[in-house]
Amino acid sequence: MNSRSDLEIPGQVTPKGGLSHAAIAQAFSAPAFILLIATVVAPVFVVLLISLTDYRLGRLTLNFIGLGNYARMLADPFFWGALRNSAIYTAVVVPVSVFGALCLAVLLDSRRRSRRFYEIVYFLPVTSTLTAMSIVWSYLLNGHIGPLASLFSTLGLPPLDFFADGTLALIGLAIIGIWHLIGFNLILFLAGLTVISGELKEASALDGMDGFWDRLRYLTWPLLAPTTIVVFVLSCIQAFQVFDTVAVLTNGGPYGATEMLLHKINTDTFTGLKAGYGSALTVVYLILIGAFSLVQVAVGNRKAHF
Amino acid sequence: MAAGVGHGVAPLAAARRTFVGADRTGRQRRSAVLANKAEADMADHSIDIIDLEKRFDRTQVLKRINLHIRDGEFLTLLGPSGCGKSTLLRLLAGFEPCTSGCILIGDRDVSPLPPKARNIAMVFQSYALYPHMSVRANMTVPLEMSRLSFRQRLPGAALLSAKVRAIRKEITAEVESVAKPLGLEALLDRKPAQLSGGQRQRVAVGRAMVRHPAVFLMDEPLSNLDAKLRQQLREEIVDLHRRTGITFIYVTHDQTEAMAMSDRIAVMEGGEIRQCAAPQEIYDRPDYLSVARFVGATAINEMPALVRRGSVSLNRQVLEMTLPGLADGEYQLAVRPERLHPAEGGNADFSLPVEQVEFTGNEVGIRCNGAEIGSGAIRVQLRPESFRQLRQGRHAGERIALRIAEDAALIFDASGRRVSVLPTQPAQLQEDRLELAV
Ligand SMILES: Nc1ncnc2c1ncn2[C@@H]1O[C@H](COP(=O)(O)OP(=O)(O)O)[C@@H](O)[C@H]1O
Ligand SMILES: [Mg+2]
Repeated sequence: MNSRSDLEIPGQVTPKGGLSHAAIAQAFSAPAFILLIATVVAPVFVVLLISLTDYRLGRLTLNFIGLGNYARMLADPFFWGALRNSAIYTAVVVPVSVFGALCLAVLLDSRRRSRRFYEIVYFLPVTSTLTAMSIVWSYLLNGHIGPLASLFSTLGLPPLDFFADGTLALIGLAIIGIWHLIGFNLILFLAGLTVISGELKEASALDGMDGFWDRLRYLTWPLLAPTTIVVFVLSCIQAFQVFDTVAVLTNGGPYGATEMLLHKINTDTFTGLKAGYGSALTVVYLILIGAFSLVQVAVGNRKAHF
Repeated sequence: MAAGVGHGVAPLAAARRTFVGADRTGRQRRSAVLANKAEADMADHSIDIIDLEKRFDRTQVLKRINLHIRDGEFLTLLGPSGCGKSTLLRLLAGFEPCTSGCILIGDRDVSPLPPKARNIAMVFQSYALYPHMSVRANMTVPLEMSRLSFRQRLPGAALLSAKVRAIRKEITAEVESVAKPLGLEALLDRKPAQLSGGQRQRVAVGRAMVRHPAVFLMDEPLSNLDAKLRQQLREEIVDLHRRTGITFIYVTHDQTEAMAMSDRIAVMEGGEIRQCAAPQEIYDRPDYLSVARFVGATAINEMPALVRRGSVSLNRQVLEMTLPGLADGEYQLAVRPERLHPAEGGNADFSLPVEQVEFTGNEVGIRCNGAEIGSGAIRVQLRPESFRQLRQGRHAGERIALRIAEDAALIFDASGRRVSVLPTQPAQLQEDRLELAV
C-alpha cells in the first residue's frame, strides 16, 4: 500500500466506485485490444470458417462441407506446383539476398565517405514500386528488344527470352526478387554492425584478426547472429509473399511454371470466385508464414546472450 | 611511489631532445638515433617517436611530437580531453597511419607494420572485450591467431593433427598462468556481460598480457570505474608493471593518477607535448603555466607580478625576493598552495583577508581573498598542527600574513612559458649544475 501510494501523484485519491487499478488498466488497453481482434484475429477466424464451406464470391448461400476444400487441395496438381515454385523461389532468393547483403554490409562498413551513397543506391529498389519496376525489368530481360538481348546478339549467342521459358521465368523472377530484397537486408545488417564498435575492431586487429575471413569468422558473423536470424526469417516471409512480379510479368505462366502460392490464392478467389477453396489455400499460407515466425522466436530466444 | 626513480632523468631527456636537433631532416635524425642505439645495448624495447604529425583532413591533431620512452619505463600521457592522447596511442598501435614522422620500437621502424606485427598490446577505455566469447576465449584468441595458421584454426583441425592439439594445450596452460595472478581463474567460463566493471578491466589486462608484448598501451583504463576501485586497480597496474618490466604507456586525463603511477609524465596540450619529466619535476618546475595549472590537486596560485630592476612587486607590494637578470616587465608569479607559509615576525610578503577555512583531516585549506595583490582567490594549505598554532587566540575572517617559501615562486612570461631565472641562493644554483652534469 505504501509503495503504491508513493507512485501516485500527490493529491490524487484512489478512484471511487470500486474500480481497481487493474480495471482501469484494462479500460485503457481496450481500444488497442479491440482493434487487434477486429483487424487480425477476426479475419483469420472468418477465413478459417469460410475454408470449411463451398462459398463462392457473389453468392448469397453457402454450404458447410467440412474438410472438402482441403481434400480437393491435396489432390490439386496446380496447388503442389504453386507450393513447389514458391519453395524454389524462396530457396534461391533468400540465401543470395541474405549472404549478399551481409558481404555488402561488411564491405560498406569500412567505407567512410562513400557509405551513404551506396546505402542510398542499394535502398532505392526497396522504396520503388515493384509493379512499375517490373515493367522496366521485363524490358531489361526481354529476349528481343532489351539490352540483354543486344548483348547476347553482339556476342553471337542465341537469344535468351526469360519470360518465355519455364525455368528461366522463375530465375528471372528470382533475380528481381533479390534485387528488391538485398537493399532492405543490407540496411538491417548495417544496423547490426553498429554493435561492433571501433575499439572492438581495433582490438581484433591487434589480436591478429585483421583478414577479411578471420574477422568475419571470429567477430562479425557471431556478433551479427541475432541480426542474421531476423533477416533470414523476414526474407523468407517476403519471398513467400511474392505477388507483384508474378501478376505483372508472367501471370503464373508459361504453363504454370511461375505460379506461386499467393498468386494462386488471388486467382482462385477473385478470378475463379471460389472463395471457399481460396480460403483453404490462405489457411495453408498462414500456417507456413506462422511457422517461419515461430522458428525465429525459438532460435532468437536461444541465441547467445551478450 | 615511483616518482623518485626519474630524478636524474629529466636532464638526460632534455639532452636527447637537444641532440635530436630542430634543424636536421627527419631522415637524418632517424639514422642518427639508430646509430646512437647501435652503441647502446641492443635488445631493448625503448620507443622513439620522431617528428610525428597527424592530420585528419584539415585539422592538425598532433604537431611534431618528439618523445623517447626508455625500455621498461612507465610513461604517462597526461592532458585534457581532446588534446590528442588517444590519437598518439592509436598511431603507436598502428590503427591510423602517421601523416609524417616515424616511430621506432627497439631499433625497428614500425610505421609500415600492421598492428599485430608490432608486438604491442592495448587496454581500451571501453575494454573492447569480445562480447560473444567467454573470458577464456577472449584470452585464448590472441594466442591462437599468432601461433596457429588459418588451416590449423579450422574447426576439427585439433582432431586431425597432434601438433595442433599440443599447441592448443600449451595455449590453455599459458592462459591459465596469466589468469591466476589476476584473480580471473573463477571467471574463465563467464561472458563479459556477466562481469563487473573491475573484473572486465582485469580481463582486458589479461587478454593484453597473454601475448607477452614488448609495449603495453593503456587508454584511460580506469575512467569507467568508481573511485575506490580505481585506487585499487591503480596499485595493481603499478605492481604489474614492476613484475613484468614491460614498457607501459598509460593515457589519462587525471593528474592524480599520472602523478601516483608514472616514472615520467608527458603533459600534452593541443596536440603538442608541453613537458616530459618525472612527476616531482613536473609538479615543482612546470615549463608552462598551463602545465602548472593542470597538475596538482589544488589549483596553483597565480598572481600578476611586476618586475623592475630585479625587484618583484604584486600590486605595488614589494616582495622579499629579487630576480636579478630578469628583464623588466609583467609576469605571472605562481606558487603551490603548500608553499605559501604563514609568516611569523616581520618577514611576510603580504597579508590577506581569510574567506574560508576547510579542514580535510590531514591538512587544512585556507582560501584568502587576493584582491589586494591583484589576483583571484589565493589558496593556502597547512598541516593541522601549524594551523592550530596559527589559530590560537584568533578568529576566522581575520587576516593572515603569508610568505612565499624559498625557491617556490615560479615565474611565467606573457606567453605562459616559465622563465628560467630562479630566485635561488648561490648554493642552490651549484647543486642544480651538479645535477645537470650527471
Ligand atoms: N578519426 C578522426 N577524424 C577526425 N578527427 C579526429 C579523429 N579522431 C580524433 N579526432 C580529433 O582529434 C582530437 C584529439 O582526439 P583524441 O586523441 O581522441 O583526444 P584525447 O584522447 O586526448 O581526448 C579531437 O579534437 C578529435 O576531434
Ligand atoms: Mg581519449
